Amino acid sequence: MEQLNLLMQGFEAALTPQNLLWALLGVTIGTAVGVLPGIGPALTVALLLPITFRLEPTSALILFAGIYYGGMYGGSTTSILLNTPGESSSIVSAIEGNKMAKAGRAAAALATAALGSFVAGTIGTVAITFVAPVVAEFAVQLGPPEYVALMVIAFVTVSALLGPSVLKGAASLLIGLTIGLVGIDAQSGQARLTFGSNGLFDGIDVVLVVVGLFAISEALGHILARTGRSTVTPVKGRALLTKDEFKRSWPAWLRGTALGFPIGSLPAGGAEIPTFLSYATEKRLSKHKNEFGHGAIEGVAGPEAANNAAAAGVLVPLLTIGLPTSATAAVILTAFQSYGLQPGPTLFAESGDLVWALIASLYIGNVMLLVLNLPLVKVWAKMLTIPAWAIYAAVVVFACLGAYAAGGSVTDLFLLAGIGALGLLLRIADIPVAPAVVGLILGPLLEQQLRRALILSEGDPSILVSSPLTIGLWILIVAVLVVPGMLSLGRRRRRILAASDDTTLDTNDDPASTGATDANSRGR
Amino acid sequence: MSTPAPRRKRSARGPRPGLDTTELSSVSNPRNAPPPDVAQRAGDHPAVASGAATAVIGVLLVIASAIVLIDAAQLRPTTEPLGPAAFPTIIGILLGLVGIALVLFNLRFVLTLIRNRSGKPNPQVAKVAVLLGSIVVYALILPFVGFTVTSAALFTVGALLLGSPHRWRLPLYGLVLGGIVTLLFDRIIGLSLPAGPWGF
Repeated sequence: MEQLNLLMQGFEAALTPQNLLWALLGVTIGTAVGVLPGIGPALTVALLLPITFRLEPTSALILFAGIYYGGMYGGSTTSILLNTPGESSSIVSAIEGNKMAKAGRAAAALATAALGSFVAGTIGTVAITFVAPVVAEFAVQLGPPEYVALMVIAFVTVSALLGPSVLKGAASLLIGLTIGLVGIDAQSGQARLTFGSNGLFDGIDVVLVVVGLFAISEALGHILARTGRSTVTPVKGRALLTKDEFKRSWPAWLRGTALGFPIGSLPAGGAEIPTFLSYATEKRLSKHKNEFGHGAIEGVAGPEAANNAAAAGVLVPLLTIGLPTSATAAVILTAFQSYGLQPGPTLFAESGDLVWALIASLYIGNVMLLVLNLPLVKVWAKMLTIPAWAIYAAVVVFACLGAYAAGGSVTDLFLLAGIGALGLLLRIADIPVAPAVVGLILGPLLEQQLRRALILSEGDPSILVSSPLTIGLWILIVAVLVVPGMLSLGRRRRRILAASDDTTLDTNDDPASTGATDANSRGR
Repeated sequence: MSTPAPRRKRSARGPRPGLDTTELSSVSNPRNAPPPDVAQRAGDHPAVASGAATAVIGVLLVIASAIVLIDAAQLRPTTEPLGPAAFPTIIGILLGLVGIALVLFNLRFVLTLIRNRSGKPNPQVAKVAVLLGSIVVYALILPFVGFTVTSAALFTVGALLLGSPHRWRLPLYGLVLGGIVTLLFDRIIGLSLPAGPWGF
């Protein structure tokens, strides 16, 4: 019950008129930017980070929480209406959601997504309230060897579970780790990979990498594919659910949440896995199995709830252990660091009031988003009528602004161009970029903990497997790499991915392709 | 309605070896099946482009591996059990191994591209280079001309490269965008953006 008192204090801080205004601003611009096609939550958060640089930490984090949840809501609107998921975790809701939109039921799909996000976000935030302090208390006992094992788990899961192959995931992770090496080594004071350039002494900023890999490469991709002139007329309608749709939706929301939060809060990568699991569960349990593949409302409600519950869950390892397990979480960690805060077990003890204000603002942001999204969904959908060239030309300008604001020097803009080119190459090569972002932020932390562990043991590497917990974690790492059970999970995920590509095809293809999709889904 | 049907059949029949074979995901993915009526260059096939790009990434990783290992070798050892060079060395070795594996697995796509080159490069690649170049130019002139005007210019160039149907209206749009950003970030939020001789 101590948590409730602390949470009440958090609400007191978050409910001041000024902070409410920051929260409202956060959810509004978060939704507006998140709605733009191809811009997922990670990029939304990175692009809008400069806005928060000059605010005091509490207001900045409240604004930031709003942008985070707003970006999630906006992203699902776009996935459903356009079938252009901005992040791997919204791929699944796009499968059925876009089918529903095509069948003229966009309003119901958007409504169940918004309500499901609200239900999952709220339950997820309640769970954070009670789980996070417990985990933080437990995490205080973790020493460097445990941290090393936890981070390796995050690495292995992020690179094995994202993308088309383990090798490509590993390549992406190593790119991130290499970029993370650049700069002065904190322990010895020696410069690594700086090539004598002063601009590189502080390392390469995470925001710069995210903006380059996601934003610049998106703009370059549109130039390469000549899709800059495409415009879309979004589906119209009022976001309302009929009684029957509601009856079919709410169990799916709860099941999605039950899958999403626990898996999201594991200190392992792959926040999109619960969305795939939820889709499979809903399909198995549904009384309307024949509707799957043609726009089943459970297929939107479940994965969308799982997605938002996982987004809340990801905050648990982030706040309590300092372990980001998704690209978005990595950017949020950077935000914390820019206010001089280091997420981890001590965060709750040292800056408790700030953390509780943040958690309180998550509740408030969720309510605001529901109010913003249900009646105003038409307004957001209007943003999709902006032609692609205008969106991406503006995104390039904002990317440069973000890079300049994050680094403060011209060198950062040169790096931005280089990282953008690398991002385009990775995009053509089908190599996922999220592992690179996670590797970039976790690499230096892993090195620090590894060196700390070996100083403690005076160079004896057996300290890494000295406690039962570390032994268990290392066994888990080996299991993730070899157990075929995990492989079949990946295969199922890839098959759903292939199905979502089929739906993309439908937009410019004929009924023949719909037939092919049906054959695929029956085969599954 | 009948024209795309043979295409579907082709992908069902299975990949042609050497041209469109890649990972399982791409083979089973009908989008990656070769569209014969459209594709004139080997690079137009997504599987070939993806494989060749993966091989290029592999080469870049091998180069990075060499740089990381050389840089690590030049660091002075310290009294710590695990010095500043240990972690970079591990990463450097892994970079080399993964890079070589990527090159080996995707070499055939590069060979396909080389064997089937038509001598006519994709004109869009040049446009990509122009946008990257304009970001570099943007960085160089930013301190002298100020944020608003340089951003307007970058917006205009970007929009033209992306295929905007407008021409003379773009600088105006750019100025409005740059103006709003400067007003919001520089004047209201207090992020100091570089100002030109005219103060914005």
